[in-house]
Amino acid sequence: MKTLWVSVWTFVLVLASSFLAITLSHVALEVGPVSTPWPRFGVIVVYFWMLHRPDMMTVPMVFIVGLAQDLIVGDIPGAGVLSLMIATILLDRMMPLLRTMPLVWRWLGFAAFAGLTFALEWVLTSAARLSMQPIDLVLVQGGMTFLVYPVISVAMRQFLRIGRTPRRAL
Amino acid sequence: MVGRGVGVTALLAAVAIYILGATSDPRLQLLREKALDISAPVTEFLGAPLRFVRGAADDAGEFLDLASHNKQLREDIVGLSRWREVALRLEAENAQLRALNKVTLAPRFDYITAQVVGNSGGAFTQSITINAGRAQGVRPGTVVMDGTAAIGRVVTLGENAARVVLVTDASSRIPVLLQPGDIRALLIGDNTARPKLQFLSKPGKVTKGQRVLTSNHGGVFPKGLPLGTVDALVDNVVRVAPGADFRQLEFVRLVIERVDLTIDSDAVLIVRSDGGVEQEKPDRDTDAPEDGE
Repeated sequence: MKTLWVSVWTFVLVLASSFLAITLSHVALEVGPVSTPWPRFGVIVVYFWMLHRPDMMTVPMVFIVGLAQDLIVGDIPGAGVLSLMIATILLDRMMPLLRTMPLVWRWLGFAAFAGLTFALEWVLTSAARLSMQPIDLVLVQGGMTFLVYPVISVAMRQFLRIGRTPRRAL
Repeated sequence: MVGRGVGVTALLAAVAIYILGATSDPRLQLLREKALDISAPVTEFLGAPLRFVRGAADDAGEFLDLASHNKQLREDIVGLSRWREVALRLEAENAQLRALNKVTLAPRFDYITAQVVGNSGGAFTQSITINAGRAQGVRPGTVVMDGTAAIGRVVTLGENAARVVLVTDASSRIPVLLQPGDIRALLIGDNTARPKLQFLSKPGKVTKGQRVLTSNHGGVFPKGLPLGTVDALVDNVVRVAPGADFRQLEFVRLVIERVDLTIDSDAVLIVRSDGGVEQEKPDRDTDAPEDGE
Protein backbone atom coordinates (compact mmCIF):
# COMPACT_ATOMS: atom_id res chain seq x y z
CA MET A 1 0.00 0.00 0.00
CA LYS A 2 2.80 2.36 0.98
CA THR A 3 4.60 1.64 -2.29
CA LEU A 4 1.47 2.54 -4.23
CA TRP A 5 1.14 5.87 -2.43
CA VAL A 6 4.81 6.64 -3.06
CA SER A 7 4.31 5.89 -6.74
CA VAL A 8 1.20 8.09 -6.94
CA TRP A 9 2.94 10.90 -5.05
CA THR A 10 5.99 10.67 -7.34
CA PHE A 11 3.78 10.70 -10.42
CA VAL A 12 1.95 13.82 -9.21
CA LEU A 13 5.25 15.45 -8.30
CA VAL A 14 6.78 14.76 -11.72
CA LEU A 15 3.70 16.03 -13.53
CA ALA A 16 3.25 19.11 -11.34
CA SER A 17 6.91 20.14 -11.49
CA SER A 18 6.88 19.73 -15.28
CA PHE A 19 3.82 21.97 -15.71
CA LEU A 20 5.23 24.49 -13.25
CA ALA A 21 8.47 24.60 -15.23
CA ILE A 22 6.63 25.11 -18.52
CA THR A 23 4.50 27.90 -17.05
CA LEU A 24 7.54 29.60 -15.50
CA SER A 25 9.15 29.81 -18.94
CA HIS A 26 6.07 31.70 -20.02
CA VAL A 27 5.71 34.30 -17.23
CA ALA A 28 6.00 37.90 -18.42
CA LEU A 29 9.08 38.94 -16.48
CA GLU A 30 9.55 42.30 -18.19
CA VAL A 31 13.30 42.04 -17.88
CA GLY A 32 13.94 42.63 -21.55
CA PRO A 33 12.29 42.98 -24.91
CA VAL A 34 9.70 40.39 -25.84
CA SER A 35 12.09 39.07 -28.47
CA THR A 36 14.54 38.00 -25.75
CA PRO A 37 14.40 34.22 -25.43
CA TRP A 38 14.11 32.78 -21.94
CA PRO A 39 15.48 29.44 -20.66
CA ARG A 40 13.18 26.56 -21.43
CA PHE A 41 12.66 25.04 -18.00
CA GLY A 42 10.45 22.27 -19.39
CA VAL A 43 13.44 20.66 -21.16
CA ILE A 44 15.45 20.82 -17.93
CA VAL A 45 12.74 19.14 -15.88
CA VAL A 46 12.14 16.40 -18.46
CA TYR A 47 15.87 15.57 -18.45
CA PHE A 48 16.04 15.77 -14.65
CA TRP A 49 13.23 13.25 -14.19
CA MET A 50 14.54 11.02 -16.98
CA LEU A 51 17.75 10.84 -15.01
CA HIS A 52 16.32 10.39 -11.52
CA ARG A 53 12.90 8.80 -12.09
CA PRO A 54 13.06 7.05 -15.47
CA ASP A 55 10.08 4.90 -14.49
CA MET A 56 7.97 8.07 -14.32
CA MET A 57 9.36 10.16 -17.17
CA THR A 58 8.47 7.64 -19.86
CA VAL A 59 7.79 8.37 -23.54
CA PRO A 60 4.03 8.84 -22.98
CA MET A 61 4.79 11.25 -20.09
CA VAL A 62 7.20 13.17 -22.34
CA PHE A 63 4.37 13.34 -24.87
CA ILE A 64 2.02 14.92 -22.29
CA VAL A 65 4.61 17.42 -21.06
CA GLY A 66 5.79 18.31 -24.58
CA LEU A 67 2.25 18.78 -25.85
CA ALA A 68 1.40 21.02 -22.90
CA GLN A 69 4.52 23.07 -23.66
CA ASP A 70 3.56 23.46 -27.31
CA LEU A 71 0.00 24.47 -26.48
CA ILE A 72 0.97 26.91 -23.72
CA VAL A 73 3.99 28.54 -25.32
CA GLY A 74 2.29 28.81 -28.68
CA ASP A 75 4.87 27.30 -31.01
CA ILE A 76 3.77 25.07 -33.84
CA PRO A 77 1.88 22.24 -32.08
CA GLY A 78 3.81 19.02 -32.44
CA ALA A 79 7.23 20.50 -33.21
CA GLY A 80 8.29 20.74 -29.57
CA VAL A 81 6.75 17.48 -28.43
CA LEU A 82 8.15 15.52 -31.37
CA SER A 83 11.69 16.84 -30.85
CA LEU A 84 11.52 16.12 -27.11
CA MET A 85 10.33 12.57 -27.75
CA ILE A 86 12.96 11.84 -30.40
CA ALA A 87 15.73 13.19 -28.13
CA THR A 88 14.35 11.09 -25.25
CA ILE A 89 14.30 7.90 -27.32
CA LEU A 90 17.76 8.47 -28.83
CA LEU A 91 19.52 9.36 -25.57
CA ASP A 92 17.65 7.01 -23.26
CA ARG A 93 20.50 4.46 -23.25
CA MET A 94 23.02 6.88 -21.79
CA MET A 95 20.85 7.70 -18.76
CA PRO A 96 21.81 4.73 -16.55
CA LEU A 97 25.46 5.63 -17.08
CA LEU A 98 24.95 9.33 -16.32
CA ARG A 99 22.84 8.62 -13.23
CA THR A 100 25.84 7.67 -11.13
CA MET A 101 28.17 10.35 -12.54
CA PRO A 102 29.06 13.70 -10.92
CA LEU A 103 27.15 16.86 -11.83
CA VAL A 104 29.61 17.95 -14.52
CA TRP A 105 28.99 14.78 -16.52
CA ARG A 106 25.24 15.02 -16.06
CA TRP A 107 25.51 18.61 -17.27
CA LEU A 108 27.33 17.45 -20.40
CA GLY A 109 24.63 14.84 -20.90
CA PHE A 110 22.07 17.63 -20.66
CA ALA A 111 24.01 19.60 -23.29
CA ALA A 112 23.56 16.68 -25.69
CA PHE A 113 19.88 16.29 -24.80
CA ALA A 114 19.05 20.01 -25.03
CA GLY A 115 21.20 20.47 -28.14
CA LEU A 116 19.40 17.66 -29.94
CA THR A 117 15.98 18.90 -28.80
CA PHE A 118 16.57 22.49 -29.95
CA ALA A 119 18.16 21.39 -33.25
CA LEU A 120 15.24 19.09 -34.05
CA GLU A 121 12.69 21.74 -33.13
CA TRP A 122 14.47 24.26 -35.33
CA VAL A 123 14.37 21.83 -38.28
CA LEU A 124 10.71 20.93 -37.69
CA THR A 125 9.64 24.58 -37.24
CA SER A 126 11.53 25.64 -40.37
CA ALA A 127 9.92 22.80 -42.32
CA ALA A 128 6.44 23.70 -41.06
CA ARG A 129 6.90 27.38 -41.94
CA LEU A 130 8.65 26.60 -45.23
CA SER A 131 11.48 29.00 -44.38
CA MET A 132 14.72 28.81 -42.39
CA GLN A 133 14.04 30.22 -38.92
CA PRO A 134 16.67 32.52 -37.37
CA ILE A 135 19.22 30.24 -35.74
CA ASP A 136 20.78 32.91 -33.49
CA LEU A 137 17.74 33.08 -31.19
CA VAL A 138 17.73 29.29 -30.93
CA LEU A 139 21.40 29.34 -29.93
CA VAL A 140 20.72 32.04 -27.33
CA GLN A 141 17.81 30.14 -25.81
CA GLY A 142 19.69 26.84 -25.93
CA GLY A 143 22.71 28.47 -24.29
CA MET A 144 20.61 30.03 -21.54
CA THR A 145 18.87 26.72 -20.88
CA PHE A 146 22.26 24.95 -20.75
CA LEU A 147 23.71 27.51 -18.31
CA VAL A 148 20.78 27.43 -15.93
CA TYR A 149 20.64 23.61 -15.72
CA PRO A 150 23.06 23.09 -12.76
CA VAL A 151 21.18 25.65 -10.65
CA ILE A 152 17.79 24.03 -11.27
CA SER A 153 19.20 20.52 -10.91
CA VAL A 154 20.93 21.22 -7.57
CA ALA A 155 17.90 23.13 -6.24
CA MET A 156 15.52 20.31 -7.18
CA ARG A 157 17.80 17.65 -5.70
CA GLN A 158 18.01 19.57 -2.46
CA PHE A 159 14.36 20.54 -2.28
CA LEU A 160 12.95 17.20 -3.43
CA ARG A 161 14.80 14.51 -1.60
CA ILE A 162 13.33 12.16 -4.15
CA GLY A 163 15.77 13.41 -6.74
CA ARG A 164 18.91 12.37 -4.91
CA THR A 165 20.95 9.61 -6.47
CA PRO A 166 22.06 6.77 -4.20
CA ARG A 167 25.65 6.91 -3.01
CA ARG A 168 27.97 4.51 -4.71
CA ALA A 169 29.11 1.60 -2.60
CA LEU A 170 32.69 1.97 -1.42
CA MET B 1 5.52 -4.92 -24.43
CA VAL B 2 2.47 -2.86 -23.44
CA GLY B 3 4.70 0.06 -22.42
CA ARG B 4 6.48 -0.09 -25.77
CA GLY B 5 3.12 -0.10 -27.58
CA VAL B 6 1.97 2.97 -25.64
CA GLY B 7 5.27 4.71 -26.44
CA VAL B 8 4.93 4.01 -30.16
CA THR B 9 1.32 5.23 -30.07
CA ALA B 10 2.41 8.44 -28.33
CA LEU B 11 5.12 8.97 -30.95
CA LEU B 12 2.64 8.48 -33.79
CA ALA B 13 0.24 10.87 -32.07
CA ALA B 14 3.03 13.48 -31.86
CA VAL B 15 3.72 13.05 -35.59
CA ALA B 16 0.01 13.46 -36.35
CA ILE B 17 -0.20 16.61 -34.19
CA TYR B 18 2.87 18.05 -35.92
CA ILE B 19 1.30 17.48 -39.34
CA LEU B 20 -1.95 19.08 -38.18
CA GLY B 21 0.00 21.98 -36.60
CA ALA B 22 2.11 22.52 -39.71
CA THR B 23 -1.00 22.69 -41.86
CA SER B 24 -2.77 25.00 -39.35
CA ASP B 25 -5.60 22.54 -38.95
CA PRO B 26 -8.54 24.22 -37.14
CA ARG B 27 -9.17 21.07 -35.07
CA LEU B 28 -6.19 22.00 -32.88
CA GLN B 29 -7.61 25.45 -32.21
CA LEU B 30 -10.08 24.22 -29.58
CA LEU B 31 -7.27 22.42 -27.77
CA ARG B 32 -5.16 25.59 -27.78
CA GLU B 33 -8.05 27.67 -26.48
CA LYS B 34 -8.58 25.24 -23.57
CA ALA B 35 -4.85 25.21 -22.77
CA LEU B 36 -4.83 29.02 -22.84
CA ASP B 37 -7.78 29.27 -20.45
CA ILE B 38 -6.11 26.87 -18.01
CA SER B 39 -2.56 28.25 -18.20
CA ALA B 40 -3.28 32.01 -18.24
CA PRO B 41 -4.52 32.27 -14.61
CA VAL B 42 -1.58 30.13 -13.42
CA THR B 43 0.87 32.32 -15.35
CA GLU B 44 -0.76 35.44 -13.93
CA PHE B 45 -0.53 34.00 -10.40
CA LEU B 46 3.13 33.01 -10.77
CA GLY B 47 4.04 36.37 -12.22
CA ALA B 48 2.32 38.35 -9.46
CA PRO B 49 5.25 38.38 -6.98
CA LEU B 50 7.64 39.39 -9.75
CA ARG B 51 5.35 42.17 -10.89
CA PHE B 52 4.98 43.32 -7.28
CA VAL B 53 8.75 43.56 -6.81
CA ARG B 54 9.17 45.37 -10.09
CA GLY B 55 6.27 47.72 -9.28
CA ALA B 56 7.73 48.51 -5.87
CA ALA B 57 11.10 49.31 -7.40
CA ASP B 58 9.45 51.56 -10.00
CA ASP B 59 7.39 53.32 -7.30
CA ALA B 60 10.50 53.97 -5.21
CA GLY B 61 12.25 55.43 -8.22
CA GLU B 62 9.31 57.64 -9.09
CA PHE B 63 8.97 58.82 -5.50
CA LEU B 64 12.53 60.08 -5.58
CA ASP B 65 11.76 62.02 -8.77
CA LEU B 66 8.42 63.35 -7.53
CA ALA B 67 9.26 67.05 -7.57
CA SER B 68 10.65 67.07 -11.09
CA HIS B 69 7.76 64.90 -12.33
CA ASN B 70 5.22 67.34 -10.89
CA LYS B 71 6.88 70.28 -12.58
CA GLN B 72 6.98 68.42 -15.88
CA LEU B 73 3.31 67.39 -15.58
CA ARG B 74 2.18 70.97 -14.87
CA GLU B 75 3.96 72.16 -18.01
CA ASP B 76 2.41 69.32 -20.01
CA ILE B 77 -1.10 70.13 -18.74
CA VAL B 78 -0.79 73.74 -19.91
CA GLY B 79 0.35 72.62 -23.35
CA LEU B 80 -2.28 69.85 -23.65
CA SER B 81 -5.13 72.14 -22.61
CA ARG B 82 -4.32 74.38 -25.55
CA TRP B 83 -4.23 71.38 -27.90
CA ARG B 84 -7.52 70.06 -26.48
CA GLU B 85 -9.27 73.28 -27.47
CA VAL B 86 -7.82 73.06 -30.96
CA ALA B 87 -8.82 69.38 -31.28
CA LEU B 88 -12.41 70.00 -30.16
CA ARG B 89 -12.78 72.91 -32.59
CA LEU B 90 -11.37 70.85 -35.46
CA GLU B 91 -13.56 67.86 -34.62
CA ALA B 92 -16.71 69.95 -34.63
CA GLU B 93 -15.69 71.60 -37.90
CA ASN B 94 -14.88 68.22 -39.40
CA ALA B 95 -18.22 66.78 -38.31
CA GLN B 96 -20.07 69.68 -39.91
CA LEU B 97 -18.23 69.23 -43.19
CA ARG B 98 -18.95 65.51 -43.19
CA ALA B 99 -22.60 66.19 -42.55
CA LEU B 100 -22.72 68.64 -45.47
CA ASN B 101 -21.16 66.10 -47.82
CA LYS B 102 -23.20 63.08 -46.64
CA VAL B 103 -20.11 60.98 -46.15
CA THR B 104 -19.60 57.59 -44.58
CA LEU B 105 -17.40 57.92 -41.57
CA ALA B 106 -14.43 55.62 -41.18
CA PRO B 107 -15.20 52.96 -38.61
CA ARG B 108 -14.63 54.22 -35.11
CA PHE B 109 -13.16 52.10 -32.42
CA ASP B 110 -13.88 50.90 -28.93
CA TYR B 111 -10.99 49.92 -26.71
CA ILE B 112 -10.51 47.21 -24.12
CA THR B 113 -7.54 47.39 -21.79
CA ALA B 114 -5.87 44.13 -20.79
CA GLN B 115 -2.86 43.09 -18.78
CA VAL B 116 0.01 41.12 -20.28
CA VAL B 117 0.37 37.99 -18.17
CA GLY B 118 2.78 35.95 -20.24
CA ASN B 119 5.08 35.98 -23.21
CA SER B 120 6.28 33.17 -25.41
CA GLY B 121 9.89 33.63 -24.30
CA GLY B 122 10.80 31.34 -27.14
CA ALA B 123 13.14 31.42 -30.06
CA PHE B 124 10.52 30.30 -32.55
CA THR B 125 7.57 32.54 -31.82
CA GLN B 126 6.90 36.09 -30.65
CA SER B 127 3.64 36.21 -28.78
CA ILE B 128 2.11 37.44 -25.55
CA THR B 129 -0.79 36.24 -23.44
CA ILE B 130 -3.32 38.76 -22.13
CA ASN B 131 -6.04 38.40 -19.51
CA ALA B 132 -8.99 39.36 -21.72
CA GLY B 133 -10.95 37.01 -23.91
CA ARG B 134 -14.32 36.24 -25.41
CA ALA B 135 -16.12 37.20 -22.20
CA GLN B 136 -14.68 40.71 -22.40
CA GLY B 137 -15.72 41.19 -26.03
CA VAL B 138 -12.46 40.27 -27.73
CA ARG B 139 -12.78 38.69 -31.16
CA PRO B 140 -10.37 36.61 -33.24
CA GLY B 141 -8.12 38.94 -35.22
CA THR B 142 -8.62 41.88 -32.85
CA VAL B 143 -5.79 44.36 -33.23
CA VAL B 144 -3.70 45.07 -30.14
CA MET B 145 -1.87 48.34 -29.41
CA ASP B 146 0.48 49.36 -26.65
CA GLY B 147 -1.03 52.86 -26.47
CA THR B 148 0.92 54.39 -29.31
CA ALA B 149 1.38 51.73 -31.95
CA ALA B 150 -0.09 48.44 -33.12
CA ILE B 151 1.84 45.47 -31.76
CA GLY B 152 -0.06 42.48 -33.11
CA ARG B 153 -3.37 40.69 -33.34
CA VAL B 154 -5.30 38.04 -31.44
CA VAL B 155 -4.81 34.54 -32.86
CA THR B 156 -6.06 32.28 -30.09
CA LEU B 157 -9.07 33.26 -28.06
CA GLY B 158 -10.08 31.73 -24.76
CA GLU B 159 -12.96 32.69 -22.50
CA ASN B 160 -10.86 35.00 -20.31
CA ALA B 161 -7.50 35.02 -22.05
CA ALA B 162 -6.08 35.50 -25.51
CA ARG B 163 -2.81 34.97 -27.29
CA VAL B 164 -1.49 37.82 -29.39
CA VAL B 165 1.02 37.22 -32.18
CA LEU B 166 3.34 40.20 -32.38
CA VAL B 167 4.31 42.06 -35.54
CA THR B 168 7.86 40.78 -35.01
CA ASP B 169 6.81 37.11 -35.23
CA ALA B 170 8.09 35.13 -38.20
CA SER B 171 4.53 34.32 -39.28
CA SER B 172 3.39 37.97 -39.24
CA ARG B 173 2.53 39.59 -42.61
CA ILE B 174 0.89 43.05 -42.53
CA PRO B 175 0.05 45.22 -45.56
CA VAL B 176 1.32 48.72 -44.78
CA LEU B 177 1.49 52.22 -46.19
CA LEU B 178 4.57 54.43 -45.86
CA GLN B 179 3.91 58.11 -45.25
CA PRO B 180 4.76 60.52 -46.72
CA GLY B 181 4.98 59.09 -50.21
CA ASP B 182 2.03 56.66 -50.24
CA ILE B 183 4.30 53.67 -50.71
CA ARG B 184 2.61 50.32 -50.31
CA ALA B 185 4.56 47.41 -48.83
CA LEU B 186 4.33 44.27 -46.72
CA LEU B 187 5.72 44.30 -43.18
CA ILE B 188 7.22 40.88 -42.52
CA GLY B 189 8.32 39.70 -39.09
CA ASP B 190 11.39 37.48 -38.77
CA ASN B 191 11.60 37.02 -34.98
CA THR B 192 14.03 39.93 -34.69
CA ALA B 193 13.26 43.21 -32.92
CA ARG B 194 13.02 45.05 -36.26
CA PRO B 195 10.71 43.53 -38.90
CA LYS B 196 11.47 44.07 -42.58
CA LEU B 197 9.60 45.67 -45.48
CA GLN B 198 9.15 43.79 -48.73
CA PHE B 199 7.23 44.20 -52.01
CA LEU B 200 7.58 47.98 -51.93
CA SER B 201 5.53 49.76 -54.62
CA LYS B 202 8.13 52.52 -54.99
CA PRO B 203 11.43 51.12 -53.65
CA GLY B 204 13.46 54.16 -54.73
CA LYS B 205 11.41 56.55 -52.61
CA VAL B 206 11.91 54.89 -49.23
CA THR B 207 13.73 57.09 -46.77
CA LYS B 208 14.65 56.77 -43.13
CA GLY B 209 12.05 58.18 -40.77
CA GLN B 210 8.97 57.56 -42.92
CA ARG B 211 5.94 56.52 -40.87
CA VAL B 212 4.71 52.97 -41.33
CA LEU B 213 0.91 52.67 -41.04
CA THR B 214 -1.52 49.81 -41.52
CA SER B 215 -3.22 49.94 -44.94
CA ASN B 216 -6.26 47.66 -44.43
CA HIS B 217 -5.40 45.57 -47.50
CA GLY B 218 -6.51 42.08 -46.56
CA GLY B 219 -8.98 43.52 -44.10
CA VAL B 220 -7.31 42.33 -40.90
CA PHE B 221 -5.85 45.60 -39.63
CA PRO B 222 -7.91 48.83 -39.78
CA LYS B 223 -6.41 51.57 -41.93
CA GLY B 224 -4.07 54.17 -40.48
CA LEU B 225 -2.83 52.57 -37.26
CA PRO B 226 0.82 53.46 -36.61
CA LEU B 227 3.29 50.58 -36.57
CA GLY B 228 6.64 52.34 -36.48
CA THR B 229 9.12 54.18 -38.66
CA VAL B 230 11.55 53.20 -41.40
CA ASP B 231 14.79 52.63 -39.55
CA ALA B 232 17.58 51.54 -41.83
CA LEU B 233 18.59 49.78 -45.02
CA VAL B 234 20.76 46.78 -44.11
CA ASP B 235 21.96 44.42 -46.85
CA ASN B 236 19.28 45.74 -49.23
CA VAL B 237 16.58 45.00 -46.63
CA VAL B 238 14.49 47.88 -45.31
CA ARG B 239 14.04 47.50 -41.55
CA VAL B 240 11.33 49.10 -39.41
CA ALA B 241 11.73 50.31 -35.84
CA PRO B 242 8.44 49.41 -34.09
CA GLY B 243 6.69 52.35 -32.44
CA ALA B 244 5.75 50.18 -29.46
CA ASP B 245 8.10 49.73 -26.57
CA PHE B 246 8.30 45.96 -26.23
CA ARG B 247 10.31 46.35 -23.01
CA GLN B 248 7.36 47.93 -21.24
CA LEU B 249 4.50 45.73 -22.35
CA GLU B 250 2.47 45.59 -19.16
CA PHE B 251 -0.93 46.80 -20.33
CA VAL B 252 -2.26 46.78 -23.88
CA ARG B 253 -5.29 48.18 -25.70
CA LEU B 254 -7.46 46.02 -27.90
CA VAL B 255 -9.04 47.85 -30.79
CA ILE B 256 -12.66 46.83 -31.37
CA GLU B 257 -14.12 48.21 -34.59
CA ARG B 258 -17.62 49.63 -34.58
CA VAL B 259 -19.96 49.50 -37.54
CA ASP B 260 -19.89 52.23 -40.18
CA LEU B 261 -21.97 55.33 -39.58
CA THR B 262 -23.49 57.01 -42.61
CA ILE B 263 -24.32 60.63 -42.12
CA ASP B 264 -27.63 61.76 -43.46
CA SER B 265 -27.52 65.32 -44.79
CA ASP B 266 -30.70 66.16 -42.90
CA ALA B 267 -29.39 64.87 -39.61
CA VAL B 268 -27.87 66.88 -36.84
CA LEU B 269 -24.48 65.54 -35.89
CA ILE B 270 -23.64 65.38 -32.21
CA VAL B 271 -20.09 64.86 -31.00
CA ARG B 272 -20.26 63.44 -27.50
CA SER B 273 -17.77 64.32 -24.80
CA ASP B 274 -16.24 60.81 -25.00
CA GLY B 275 -15.45 61.30 -28.69
CA GLY B 276 -18.36 59.21 -30.00
CA VAL B 277 -20.52 60.50 -32.81
CA GLU B 278 -24.26 60.12 -33.15
CA GLN B 279 -26.84 61.69 -35.40
CA GLU B 280 -30.25 62.97 -34.56
CA LYS B 281 -32.72 62.85 -37.43
CA PRO B 282 -35.48 65.40 -37.69
CA ASP B 283 -39.06 64.13 -38.16
CA ARG B 284 -39.69 63.41 -41.84
CA ASP B 285 -42.89 63.78 -43.75
CA THR B 286 -44.11 60.19 -44.14
CA ASP B 287 -46.21 61.12 -47.21
CA ALA B 288 -43.20 62.36 -49.13
CA PRO B 289 -43.04 60.80 -52.62
CA GLU B 290 -40.34 58.20 -53.24
CA ASP B 291 -37.50 58.83 -55.66
CA GLY B 292 -38.49 58.47 -59.28
CA GLU B 293 -42.19 59.07 -58.77
